[in-house]
Amino acid sequence: MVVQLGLMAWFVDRLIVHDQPVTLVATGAALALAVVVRSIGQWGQEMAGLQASHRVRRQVRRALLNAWASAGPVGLSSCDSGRLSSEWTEQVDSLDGYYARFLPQMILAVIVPLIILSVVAVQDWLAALFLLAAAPLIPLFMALIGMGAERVNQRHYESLARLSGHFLDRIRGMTTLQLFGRSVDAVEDVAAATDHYRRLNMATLRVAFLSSAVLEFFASVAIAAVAIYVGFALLGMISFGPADEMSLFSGLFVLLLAPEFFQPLRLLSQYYHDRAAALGAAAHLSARLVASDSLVPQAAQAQRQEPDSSGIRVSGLGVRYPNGREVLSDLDFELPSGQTLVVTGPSGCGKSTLLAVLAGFMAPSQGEARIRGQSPGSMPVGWMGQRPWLVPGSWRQNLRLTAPEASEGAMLEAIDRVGLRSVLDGLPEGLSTRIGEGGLGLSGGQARRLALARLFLTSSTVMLLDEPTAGLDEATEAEVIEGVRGIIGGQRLCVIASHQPALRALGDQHLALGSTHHA
Amino acid sequence: MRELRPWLGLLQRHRRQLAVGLVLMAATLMAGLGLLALSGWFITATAITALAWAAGLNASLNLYAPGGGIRFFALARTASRYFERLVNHDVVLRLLADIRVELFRKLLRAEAYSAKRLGSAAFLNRLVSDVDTLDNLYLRQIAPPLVALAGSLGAAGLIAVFAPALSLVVLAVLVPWLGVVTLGMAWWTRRHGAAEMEAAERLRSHALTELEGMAELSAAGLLSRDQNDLLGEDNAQRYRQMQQETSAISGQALNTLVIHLLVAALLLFASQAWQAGQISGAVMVLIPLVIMALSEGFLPLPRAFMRLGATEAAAERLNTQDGSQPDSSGQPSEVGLPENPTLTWSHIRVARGAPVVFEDFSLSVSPGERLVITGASGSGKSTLASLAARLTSPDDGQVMVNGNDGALFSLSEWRERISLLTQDAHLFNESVAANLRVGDADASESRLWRVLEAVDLAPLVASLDCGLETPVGEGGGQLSGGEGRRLALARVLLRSAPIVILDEPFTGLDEATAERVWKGIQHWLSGCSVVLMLHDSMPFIEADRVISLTAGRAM
Repeated sequence: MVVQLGLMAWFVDRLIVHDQPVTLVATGAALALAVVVRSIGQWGQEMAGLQASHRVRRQVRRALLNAWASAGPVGLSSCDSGRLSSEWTEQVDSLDGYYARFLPQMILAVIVPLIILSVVAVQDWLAALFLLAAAPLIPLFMALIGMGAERVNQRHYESLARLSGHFLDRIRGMTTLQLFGRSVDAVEDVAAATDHYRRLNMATLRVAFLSSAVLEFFASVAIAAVAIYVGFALLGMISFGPADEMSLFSGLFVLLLAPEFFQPLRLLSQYYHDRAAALGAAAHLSARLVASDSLVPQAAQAQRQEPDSSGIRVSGLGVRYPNGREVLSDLDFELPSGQTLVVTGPSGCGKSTLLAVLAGFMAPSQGEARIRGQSPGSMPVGWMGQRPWLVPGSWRQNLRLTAPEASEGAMLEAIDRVGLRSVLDGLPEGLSTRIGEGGLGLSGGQARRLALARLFLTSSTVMLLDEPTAGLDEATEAEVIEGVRGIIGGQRLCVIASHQPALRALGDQHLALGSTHHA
Repeated sequence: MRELRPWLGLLQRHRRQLAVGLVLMAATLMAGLGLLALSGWFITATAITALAWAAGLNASLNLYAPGGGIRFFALARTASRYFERLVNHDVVLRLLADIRVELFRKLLRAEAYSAKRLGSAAFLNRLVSDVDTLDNLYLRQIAPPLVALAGSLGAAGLIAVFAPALSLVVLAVLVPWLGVVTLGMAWWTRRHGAAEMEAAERLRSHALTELEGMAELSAAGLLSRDQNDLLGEDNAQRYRQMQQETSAISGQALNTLVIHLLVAALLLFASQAWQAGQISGAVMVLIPLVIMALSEGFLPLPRAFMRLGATEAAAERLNTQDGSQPDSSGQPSEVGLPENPTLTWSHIRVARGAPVVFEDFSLSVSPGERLVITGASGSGKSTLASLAARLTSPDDGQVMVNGNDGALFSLSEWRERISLLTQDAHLFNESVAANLRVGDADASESRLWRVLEAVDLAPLVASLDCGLETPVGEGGGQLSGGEGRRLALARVLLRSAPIVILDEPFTGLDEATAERVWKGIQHWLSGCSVVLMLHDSMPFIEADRVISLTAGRAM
């Protein structure tokens, strides 16, 4: 680039000052070559940045997934999954600008002005001084403005994540909003949230723009000063320093170089909001990574042991939630292999909490639980929560969620067991029939039974069922209970939380949890 | 490009601000152009004058006009760029807020469940990211090429003053090149762009699915496997992004190449013109410098147009929301709904889109009646409930109040009288109080406590650190199933509608709690017609009438 500009200045100088003919072809070729080299250099620089950003984002995504896994279902239950998924997608992507553009540009912003400055200094040290005088002010202003921008940006990212959670929540509750005639309020809510987002965004941008305007100002003033200085020097109106020796070549060369002196810094300030965006996102992401660290359940740290054939042993178990609510205390029981335990009790007594501990989703605050001689969470178990987990997709996809290798035959058998065979036979597309979000297209009971069928397909010999028949009518419930009966026994262990008398009959043991833990 | 039309239409609302922004953008580019060109001319002119003096000739040069011009351009460029950016971004963000609200309104008008059918993961993407993508449209894809075009014409015009032939060269190169870096770039990257957006949506929905099924997956020991799949998809997706980026980077490098080759060529041509005595030496320098300053206007184009495909895809998906059914019965009726309404399902036929088929079904609930409808899951209870609340409309027949067709009344009026607890009532990720106030926005705290008392939640809420202000988590995830259900029930009671339909209100409750809740809410239901949808009748419920429903038929 320097060469290109130098050649141009030299060319003009030759022609005008020395009135020498120059070979057009040679100069043209040299100029073209300089332009080509410049383009290739630019290409290489940007490609390298792209590669770096690619690698960084891969690592961050992996780390986030690890954080989710170690927080577990209970740790994440208080987080909005829309927000988490937007963290994983958009926020990680917003690191891109920083690694692909800002960082490389930062290095260039130091090196390129230095090169140009030294070239200019060789031509005319006074002009170099003009540039130098403008340059140090720039980082100073940038730093001053940058400090504010960072805070604003962090807020901006928080509000973006909250906004996307807010949207998802409102959309999921759209029917509820309609039923309560609150749609108009919700529209206003969305308007207010979006407007808040706009104002935050503008605050960020105003600062980002101010920093580039400052730079722009100094760059323009310096170029203007150089131009005027060179002009007067050429006229011989400035008589000190190197001004006397100014030739058209050096003057023009210096003038052409002057904007290029500021160009890397200007690009840097354009990429500045890439940096601010990345820092905002990074603060958010690292907070997530740290937060999940503190929630690592006991199981993740426990040593691996070979499972033995013993059953479940719970001794002195107590659980207290971070909000101060104690749901279980001093719980003891032992369930031999092959048996089924039915846990009963009023709602809120801790049935689900006990199951979560057994699944390894949360660590007890006192005592311990052992399944087949191991800490919970170190071996796969079958789990079914209070709300059946169904994804938009076919019946087949839903059945294979936790049993990826299940054969068609096994799937049909499982469906038979939960009493869905007659429903399936009525579907022209069979297992390929699609289910909408949240089990749309299935009745509440059918969704539950499909999730149960999936549980039957897994190979695990330990099953934890949280209210498996809630919301089912008597006839369907009986079918499901028949299905459950078909898979318990043998070496299998089963813990069912339920208050249905019909399910109680399946239990070899019963555990009644009291309701004294409310206060 | 057709997809973009509705959004271009929206731009018109802010016409004046957009015009101001555009003018400021052009002014910025022109000032930069003027600064460099005038400086080059000035220096060369001074050098020539100096040479003339040295040769003893009497040459004169006005120093102050160009000097002032240079200073003016320098300041003008800074100021116009700053204000241009502020004006443009503000108006674009305003526009985007308009779009979001408009979309949300459309979605609310859409028939019940159609929103669900689209899948929330896809939806979240649509609202947040598509709308943000449309941000590209004006600021990156409409204004910059216009400004670059204006700059090219301006530069050509300036050059034409001195050397008309060279200005034709400039136009012959820059105008087609503008087409290449905009439309050519968009054409080249379009295919990948659409695929990339689709893949991004799949990726997000996969992440969301994994988060929602975290319990099942981690219990089954399949979480790490699913996460590996997710990372694999992410790698593939990022590879696609890289291809796109590579195109943009190559486009930018080519851009530099073409513009600077043009600069070099112009210098050579101009030197010949100078030697031929057609132009002065200072102008010879001015000509290439003008184009060099212009390169700034071309710089952002390749990357912006790489994204045109994505912008179009986003606009297209947003457009599909336009197809939603309008709310045909929004007008308030002249009749007015009576205070003690009799609700009637009259000769209902439902055949499409429902799990249960109804054929000529009729049923009536008189004021103050306690009606229990029992039936297996899939017997059609929920269909009856959503018909009554006019969430869905029957294929034939009517839902009537005191003999008047429901369609005569506005939806808001209707729903003030009929309150429905659906099976999947949604709890918002807000506080207990905020969730309750969905039912009655003006409810006092003591009223909230009374209704919590009725559903047997008061002791639990009182025991929480933040009481009524405790957040309930996403979808009520911080509460147990039964607790969430009772909170949703409490919200329905706060509505104080004369007709209350409760679809499986006791899900997740043991019998003793269910009985306590039922007794507790009687006070709130006094004088109301109550329709209870249950899978089995419960011994503690004293009903005026019990109807058993089997596959859309009352027994």
